[in-house]
Amino acid sequence: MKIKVVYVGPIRTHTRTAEEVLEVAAGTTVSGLLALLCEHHGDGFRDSIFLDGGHLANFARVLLDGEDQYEAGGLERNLDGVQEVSILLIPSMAGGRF
Amino acid sequence: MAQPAIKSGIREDVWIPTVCYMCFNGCALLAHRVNGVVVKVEGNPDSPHSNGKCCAKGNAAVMGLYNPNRITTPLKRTNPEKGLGVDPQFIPISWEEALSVTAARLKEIRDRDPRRLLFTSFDISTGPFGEAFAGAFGTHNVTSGPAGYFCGNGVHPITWMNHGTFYAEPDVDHCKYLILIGSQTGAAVHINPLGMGPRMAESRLKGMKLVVVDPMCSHMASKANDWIPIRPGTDGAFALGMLDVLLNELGIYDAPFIKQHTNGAYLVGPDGKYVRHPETGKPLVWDTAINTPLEFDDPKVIDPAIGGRFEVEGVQAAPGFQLLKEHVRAYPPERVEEITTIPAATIRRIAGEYGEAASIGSKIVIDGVELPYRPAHVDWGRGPSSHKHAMANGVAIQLLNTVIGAVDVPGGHLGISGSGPDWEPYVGPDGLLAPSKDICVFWQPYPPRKAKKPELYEVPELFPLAVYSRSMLPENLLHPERYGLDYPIEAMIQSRNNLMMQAAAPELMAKVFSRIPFTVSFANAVESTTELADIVFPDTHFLERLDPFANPIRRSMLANCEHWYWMVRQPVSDPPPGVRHWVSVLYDLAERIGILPEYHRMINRLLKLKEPYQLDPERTGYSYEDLMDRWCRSRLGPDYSLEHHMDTGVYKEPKDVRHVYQRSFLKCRIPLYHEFFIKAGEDVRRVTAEMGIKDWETEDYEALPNWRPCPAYEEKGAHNLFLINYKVPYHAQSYTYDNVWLDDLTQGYPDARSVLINTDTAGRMGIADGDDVVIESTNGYRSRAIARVVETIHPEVAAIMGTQGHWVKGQPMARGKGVHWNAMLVYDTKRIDKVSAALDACVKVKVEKISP
Repeated sequence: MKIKVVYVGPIRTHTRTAEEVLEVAAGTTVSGLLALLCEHHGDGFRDSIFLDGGHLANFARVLLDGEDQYEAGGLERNLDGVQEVSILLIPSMAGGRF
Repeated sequence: MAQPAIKSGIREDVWIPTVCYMCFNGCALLAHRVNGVVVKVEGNPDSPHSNGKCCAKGNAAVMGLYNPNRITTPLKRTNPEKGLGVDPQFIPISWEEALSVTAARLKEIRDRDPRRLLFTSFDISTGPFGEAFAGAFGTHNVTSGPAGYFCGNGVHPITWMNHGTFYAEPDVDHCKYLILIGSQTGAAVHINPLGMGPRMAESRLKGMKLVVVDPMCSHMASKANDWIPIRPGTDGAFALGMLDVLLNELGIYDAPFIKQHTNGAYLVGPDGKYVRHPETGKPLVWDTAINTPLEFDDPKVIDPAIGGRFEVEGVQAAPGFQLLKEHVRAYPPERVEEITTIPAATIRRIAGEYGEAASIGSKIVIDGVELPYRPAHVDWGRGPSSHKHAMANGVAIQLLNTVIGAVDVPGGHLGISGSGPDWEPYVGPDGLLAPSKDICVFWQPYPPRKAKKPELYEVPELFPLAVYSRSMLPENLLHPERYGLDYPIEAMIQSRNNLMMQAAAPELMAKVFSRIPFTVSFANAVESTTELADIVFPDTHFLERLDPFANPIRRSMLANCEHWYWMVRQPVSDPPPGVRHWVSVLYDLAERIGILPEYHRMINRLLKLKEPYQLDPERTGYSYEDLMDRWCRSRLGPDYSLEHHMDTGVYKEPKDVRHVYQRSFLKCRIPLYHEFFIKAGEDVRRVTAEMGIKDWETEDYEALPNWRPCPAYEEKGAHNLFLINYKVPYHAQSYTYDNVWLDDLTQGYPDARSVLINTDTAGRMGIADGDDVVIESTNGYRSRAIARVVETIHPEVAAIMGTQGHWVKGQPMARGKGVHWNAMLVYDTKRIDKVSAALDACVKVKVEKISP
């Protein structure tokens, strides 16, 4: 199945592209897609979104058709039916958040 | 809230709810407007945040609104030379010119490499919009400014790790014994001051004992049962001495809490790391009921050992708590007395009182829920945090709360919003607490990040446990090659922070920021950072602003409160013609630069906008009000429009006991033995070695904290006094000093322009009260002051007030008055804590009488 992956923010330093369309196997999970992207874009990409021990960093957000994967089933949610995955790297500032 | 006219000639007489922004606490206000003129502000009793109170700063806000030196039109620099006190020769330009020049320059930089933009703001009410802009632009070089050199480096990482929160505060409603170390909680100069102040006073009337450990008799210390003067930079040693007395002399600790809610039972091997299950990798504990090792979360664990030694997996292992007990034996009160100057007998007395007051084993029922009751704890603030070993200080002090179980329980230290209506900490690696992904937006300390070769100008990659590393920014702007940064910073956007006043060594900082070729500043007046700008956009005063969630939940929200609450900051006065909220200007810039689709995507996530309120990435032209209305409805419900929010002023919803005292309801543990520090230190050592950095200290990356002296501690010679600065309730940071009413207050305060010196010390130096003196720092900076000889300061310390000594013409009320404390500091990476990134504010000075 085809999935459009959109990169937003400083993550583009490592992807060198704003978006791409990938062909993935049916049943591919969010974590499976991320593993694929890490392989594709290299260590800089991996180190930008994962913490030590392989935990997804708070400032790296993966949206499935606009919904954060945390609320959409988590990293083991399969991507069947998802049209667009957005990966955001959010700059961290002592700013406000509610 | 419109009211009828009450006097002849009065066409309008209204009180409008809004939120203060004279400091970042965001107290609820009512602004009184008569015939279009704001004549008064008072506290808003509808908000639990500030109890209907309003401090001097809030009262004086109208003078900032009508400040004759406000910028009301965009400005362009015509003098290419930049520097400290150099006249920028600004000329007014049109909005169109300002926007087009700025957008063109930023677009050109972004096309080349977006990381070349440095974005800096301390606007906590609109933080997501700044982050969204920087993110959409593609830069991760963002900072809230150099205030964090000192402020929370040794506080916030600790509270994130232990509470899952940005900050923690005393549960004074249930506390009987509170120790404040370098903190003025409850004294109108700390976080949530007007909420905490009255509660603190009430608790004192009910008998809560208050002990304040501080080099000077601060406002809070003056209200305390005990003021304990301490040598600056030795707070960590004091905590370790207290721990020695509690654990080894008195045997006071909360064993059930340590076993169930900390990692104190995890077995540690000779290498200092956990002994792990060979297959699952999980840390092991020794179960005393069946005398065998088990994984820490094995349901078969009945009674994990926290003392003793055991043969496990072929090595001798001991529980972390056992190691802590042994570790603090190195800090007996007699040794700690030598370090801190606090008598050993006093350390023993305070530790004994503290341990007894903790009432270990007692329970309390609140709202029908039985909870542990620990009515004693320690709170700390900038004092211990503004030192070379800030993280170690914070860890040592936190352990005083951990060992008695006074963490997120009645009477204890409470995280402000660890668990909320729709978020809570989660169980991180090795069963330890990790903060909710929705409220921890700093670089998170746990799970630790990977140390790696830096890509960013604050080099957070070399500080995997810190929440920010702002102190490294100037160093890298001057010497990017030292840390392998292969691109320059070509532009800076700055708003609502004054980097020049808040940073150490302003002469050096002027050189640093002058190197940035293109600087855009949003400002009310030409402040000292704005003076270095190329383009200046006039910003609104807070009484002209619309910020629907002015008090961010993770910062300005009382911990022990019956409600969650959000207050709207709304315009009570029209801004000068053309002047707009700086976030709406950012929106225009985003559109002109061509990053609006990314900006919308970022906003959708950062504001957690739900459908149908999400922004369409491909659409343009959302108004500021539309955006804020979407935020309100998405967050508070479809019927809760911006208009409704503005009408009510304060949104409240009930807060459950589970959210106030989250600790007892969570499965995640907190660190007593900081094993992950060791791994982080190993990573940092490896990376810095690979980069050829030879002098990067890593000794503070240890599982149990030690006290080490700050550089100034060991400096001898003529510069023989530690210089500290202290806060007063009517000033915050540097902005307030240019307010005419607050300046009046300052002029009337006899100590405002003075340097405080202990009576005995002054006598030995031949200095009398009222003498003109000169203060000279070890960095060579000199400033005149008037000697104020007092009993209420440590004999090795001199103290000055706040952040004065402004120099720019745009701030005439503040200009040329007082001593600029930051100018006394030594900016040197050797004085930066390599764990927390705090810049050491321990500085030695020489004070000399000026001969007539």
